[in-house]
Amino acid sequence: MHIPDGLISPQTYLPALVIAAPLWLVARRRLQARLGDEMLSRLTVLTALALLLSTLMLPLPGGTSGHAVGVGLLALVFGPWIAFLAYSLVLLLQAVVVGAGGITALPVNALAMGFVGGWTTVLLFAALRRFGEGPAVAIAVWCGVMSAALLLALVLGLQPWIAQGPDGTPRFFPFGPAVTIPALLLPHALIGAGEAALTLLVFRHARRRRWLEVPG
Amino acid sequence: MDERNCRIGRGHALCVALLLLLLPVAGHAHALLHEVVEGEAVILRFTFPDAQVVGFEPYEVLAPGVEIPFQSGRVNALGELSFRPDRPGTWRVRLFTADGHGAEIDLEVDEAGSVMRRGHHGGPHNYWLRVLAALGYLLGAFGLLVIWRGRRARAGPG
Repeated sequence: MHIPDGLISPQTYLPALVIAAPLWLVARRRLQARLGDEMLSRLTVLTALALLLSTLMLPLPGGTSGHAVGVGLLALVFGPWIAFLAYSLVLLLQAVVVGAGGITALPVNALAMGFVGGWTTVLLFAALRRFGEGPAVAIAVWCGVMSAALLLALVLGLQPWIAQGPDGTPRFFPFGPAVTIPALLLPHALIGAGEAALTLLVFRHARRRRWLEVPG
Repeated sequence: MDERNCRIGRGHALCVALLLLLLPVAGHAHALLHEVVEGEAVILRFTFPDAQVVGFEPYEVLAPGVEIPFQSGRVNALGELSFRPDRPGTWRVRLFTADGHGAEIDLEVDEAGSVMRRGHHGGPHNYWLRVLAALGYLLGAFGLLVIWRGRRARAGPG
């Protein structure tokens, strides 16, 4: 789901950086206020798990491939702010070391997957948990993945209108939302279901071990 | 009168002859000629990290310092594209898939049209090596944080 460098315009990633930078500062303060030795080791392990999940490519019908996100688990265990910061680190390492995603696209990717994905998961889980923890986790994680995919599809799909050459041709990503929305949402409906099941397994283990840092 | 008719007839015959002479030229103007050119080309192959082929996706090739594409089209069924650089410099190849995958590759081409150096990231073969390296960096960063916190805690009471 990561957007690589060269696909989105400066008119998109510069405002995204302006939005993301203060959010990273807030998240850093939240982390500093709550960080303990035990939490640090758990955060290390689950961030590494999120990194692995986001690098496992799954072949999808239609000749493409996708990967899980992993931010839902971080958000449910540590809360959305810490999840946002940890997932931004995952995205940075992916961009710099792995070659997935990009430096200029980092704020957009972090906002979509780390912030919107994480917050959607946590808020939906809080709203749905009275119907049972299992369904609440599964639905919340699936919706978190889909919300991130929808936001990235819109960002990509708006590029032909945002940045055009003198002859009106798109200077960056050439497909409109009519193409990008189904192209991203349909595969991620499957990926999100798999990620929801995996997250539920790990979440139950985390709950039994009293790893959950979020209240409730 | 007969002589006049004869002159007109000769004029018509001359016009028809001229038209017949020009017809092959007009025909050539609409012909598409071709020749097989022997030479070197730059060939790029695109795959996903799981080695799946990126087939039939659109791409564009930009010549050094020019924003209008030198070449555009779709990669073939094998995920390959080829082009012949006509000048040295940094050539840029951009490929997009509808679901937001993409690559932007800079190729340094010399006078002979050979690729000297490529920018972007390495080939797909070392993907898992890079994932492993990223995991190493991640664990290392958290490890440093643990050490720093430990030292700060020990230094705190003193």
